[in-house]
Amino acid sequence: MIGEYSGFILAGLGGGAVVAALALGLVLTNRATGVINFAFGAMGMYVAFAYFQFRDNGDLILPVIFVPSRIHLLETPTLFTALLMAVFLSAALGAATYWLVFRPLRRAPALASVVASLGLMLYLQEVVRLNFPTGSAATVVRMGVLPERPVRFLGTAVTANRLLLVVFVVLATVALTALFRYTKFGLQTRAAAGSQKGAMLVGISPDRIGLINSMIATVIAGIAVILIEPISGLDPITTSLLVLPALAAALLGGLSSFTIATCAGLGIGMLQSLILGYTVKPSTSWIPDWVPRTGLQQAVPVILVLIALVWRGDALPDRAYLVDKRLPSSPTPRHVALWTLLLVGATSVALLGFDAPHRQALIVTMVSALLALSIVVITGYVGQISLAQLAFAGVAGFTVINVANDGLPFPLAALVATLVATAVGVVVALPAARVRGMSLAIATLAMAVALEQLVLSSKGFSGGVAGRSAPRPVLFGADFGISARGADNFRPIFGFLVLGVLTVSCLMVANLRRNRTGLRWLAVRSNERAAAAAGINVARSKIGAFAVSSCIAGLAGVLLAYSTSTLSTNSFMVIGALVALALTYLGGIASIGGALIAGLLAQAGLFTLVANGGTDGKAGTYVFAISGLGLIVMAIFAPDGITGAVRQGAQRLQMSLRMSGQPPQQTALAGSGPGAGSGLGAGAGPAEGEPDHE
Amino acid sequence: MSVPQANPTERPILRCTGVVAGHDGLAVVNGLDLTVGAGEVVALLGANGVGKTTTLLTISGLIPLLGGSIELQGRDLEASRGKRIGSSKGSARSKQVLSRARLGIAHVPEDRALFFDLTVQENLRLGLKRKKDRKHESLASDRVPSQVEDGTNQAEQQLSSSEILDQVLGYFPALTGLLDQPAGLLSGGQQQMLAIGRGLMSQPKLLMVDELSLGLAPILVEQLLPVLRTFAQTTGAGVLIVEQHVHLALAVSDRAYLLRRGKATLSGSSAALSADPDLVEAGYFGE
Repeated sequence: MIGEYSGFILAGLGGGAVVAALALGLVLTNRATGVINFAFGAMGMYVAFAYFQFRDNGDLILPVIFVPSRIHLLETPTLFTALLMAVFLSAALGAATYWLVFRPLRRAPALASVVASLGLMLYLQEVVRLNFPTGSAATVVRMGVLPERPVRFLGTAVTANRLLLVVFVVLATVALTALFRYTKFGLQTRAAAGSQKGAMLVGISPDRIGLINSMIATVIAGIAVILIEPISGLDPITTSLLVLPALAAALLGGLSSFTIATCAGLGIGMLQSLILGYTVKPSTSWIPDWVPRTGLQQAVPVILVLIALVWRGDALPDRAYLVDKRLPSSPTPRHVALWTLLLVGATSVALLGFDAPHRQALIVTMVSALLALSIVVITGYVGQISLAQLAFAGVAGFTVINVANDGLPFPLAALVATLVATAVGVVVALPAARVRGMSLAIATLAMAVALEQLVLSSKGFSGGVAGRSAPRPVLFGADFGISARGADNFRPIFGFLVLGVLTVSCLMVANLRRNRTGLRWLAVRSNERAAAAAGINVARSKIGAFAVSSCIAGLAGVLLAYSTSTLSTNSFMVIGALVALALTYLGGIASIGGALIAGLLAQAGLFTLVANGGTDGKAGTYVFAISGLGLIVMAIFAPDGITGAVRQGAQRLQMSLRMSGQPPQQTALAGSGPGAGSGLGAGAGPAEGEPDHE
Repeated sequence: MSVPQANPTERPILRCTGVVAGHDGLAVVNGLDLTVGAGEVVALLGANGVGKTTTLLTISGLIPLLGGSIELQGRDLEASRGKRIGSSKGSARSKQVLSRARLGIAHVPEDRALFFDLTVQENLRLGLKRKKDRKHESLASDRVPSQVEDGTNQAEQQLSSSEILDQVLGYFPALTGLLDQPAGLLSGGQQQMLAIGRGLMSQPKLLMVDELSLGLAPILVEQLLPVLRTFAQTTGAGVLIVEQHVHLALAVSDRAYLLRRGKATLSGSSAALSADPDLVEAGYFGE
């Protein structure tokens, strides 16, 4: 029985080894810098692309845009020089990302480093797509490093490269464990992880520790991805997403144990391979048809993470930092009626006046804004990083199609679908009662992957790759459908339906934010323990917020279903969820205005359309690369997003106008708080600003 | 073997002149003058919020100096800052802290900043200076011999790391049995001993202890404070303490400064100050 599957188990060693190597790197960077780097797979992916390019023709391709990226280094690269180049390149990449991205963010809240690493991931994927010959145009002959001849191991044939990969990972694990246990450098790293202030006071430089460890971690990741290429192939997106099973393995080791992370990584690889082998056998007919076989393979490790996270609860304790972490400010919405009138008026005029392409972009903008609004509620107001919002939308989208096709009339079908999404959101929220911060980000990401792989990819539910179509929404004989028969596409009336839903949702959120619920949410966001001590039921607040937020996400999913001719799983890929969070952060994660701006910036939204029009479509080529960079820059310099930057600019202007009118007030003695409590008090006007004190 | 301290201000360990410091560019300390002589224990007193902790943070470099100067054994600590006066940029800041720790300033902050996951022994070992710095130090003091440093201090600098550890455990015998315990499992008093012990491991020229008594039983405080006294007297180092318990502080220190509104409004020998409680009280509550 075992013998039947031992081939699959051993074949999984290769994939398991690369997962283990990435997990090792994640553990190492986390121990040294406290960061969980979602871009870690993408970093290894870039190094591997660069390696194979160099090995082929001696060209080094740098991860830059707009400037020439190709440097011809060697005429005849050998295996040795190419590997040497890869080691130097990955060390340099590790150093650069630490110094430019994660070091400036070491005192930032978890959200900022999640967003920055998502930005980095997007950027690297785009740079590889832009700078390297990929896909069908591939001219690079990828020469594997390790021998691929089959050897017999425990009575089963397996290729030598798989076994050698495992040897590489095990050696790396032993070396890292010894480094941490027996050397002064290891002791210093452990110390800096415990208390940065203490480390500095005894003369340890946290920068040096972080830099060296990031370099080591990236070298391990780069080499592992290079070695795995002949087994798993190399692709900008799938290789980057290897970070998910690696996170699972790293989390099982509590993000601190190298040995457990490696074992878990190897185990996940073998388990995936075994599931694949088992499900393709004709004898496994007991698995119902609606379960996607590949989904099972992807989802199982992810479900393991969830169990581990909930079981461990506090797997990732917060680190002690020098300065309090500052959360993005969440101002009380003001002049709501005025803003509503202005925006609804302008949008109505636009819906009636725009031509079809612009009207389409406007509709996309509004639907995306609705999704962003759900992120504002859960992540901006309550501080729970949720990467499952798009999956909620997907659940609602396919539900409305299914129930409407079963004959449920339009508004009822939409209502049912929204309620289903809300229910799913509440279920996802249950672990959130135990898990917080970065762990929750990973838990919700795991949920999103599980939903995508098991539910949204299920033929019975979504029609698989082909997708499904929604019947036209008709209410009391009025047709709200997006397109009519004939030339009349993207009809304004559908736009008004979307506008109505968006307006009502925004007003509801504004109202929640202004009454006691909003205060409770902000209290939970700034300090759960203090909130609990003040008599707030933290778990209830979180679950309530998840319900509101997934309800809004569900509405977005329903509108999305009605706005496309066929809805397919592709609209709800995990990468889209990452982009949605990133764009919302860019707009301003803790304000309604931020959600609206995020909608404008969304792919195929108004901004892309206008930018493409102005640049002959060239903007489209670089839009992801630039938004990736933009995210990193915003996460570091403007945690309040675009709306926050505008608000601060307006306040400064207002203040300087007032200052020129009257003598400056004496506020120097009163000021002592290091801006930590601005979460609640933002928008308090000039009194909060810094007077010119010389 | 007490060190003669004829005139502690003649060549002080620490001299602050017109120090301006605070958070986010807002001055809390405004024009503070303060000296700590060799072998001297100096107490910094004052009501809440007058800038006692800010002063210590500024001396160790954790927050930027906004004006004035700080000298350690006659060497201007901010001399290398160039034009970056008051720079709060992360990397410049952390370099300042590191270089001062290596020059011989040991700061035991209010929160003690211990490494909870590491054992007591590991915490102490991390307090040791790098060999390079230790060597450099003995060379420097060869060139500038002084009456204080040539005796005991010189001998100490040649101690091996295990001898330094033994010496520190001599100050805090209670830690001897706990060497393999994680620091996070210690009681509050043991943690305070460990924090001070870690500072002593670096054989500092200046030891600063912020709120030693915070959260500790009075009987423990009465045991710990005299250790600082012994340390100053046997090594000739300077000790600067911030303390809320005025009578305890005055009992253990040689001199004291009373801070008010960011300035030292009252200073003098501790004996004189404790003889006149009204004077100190006036300093706390206004005229």
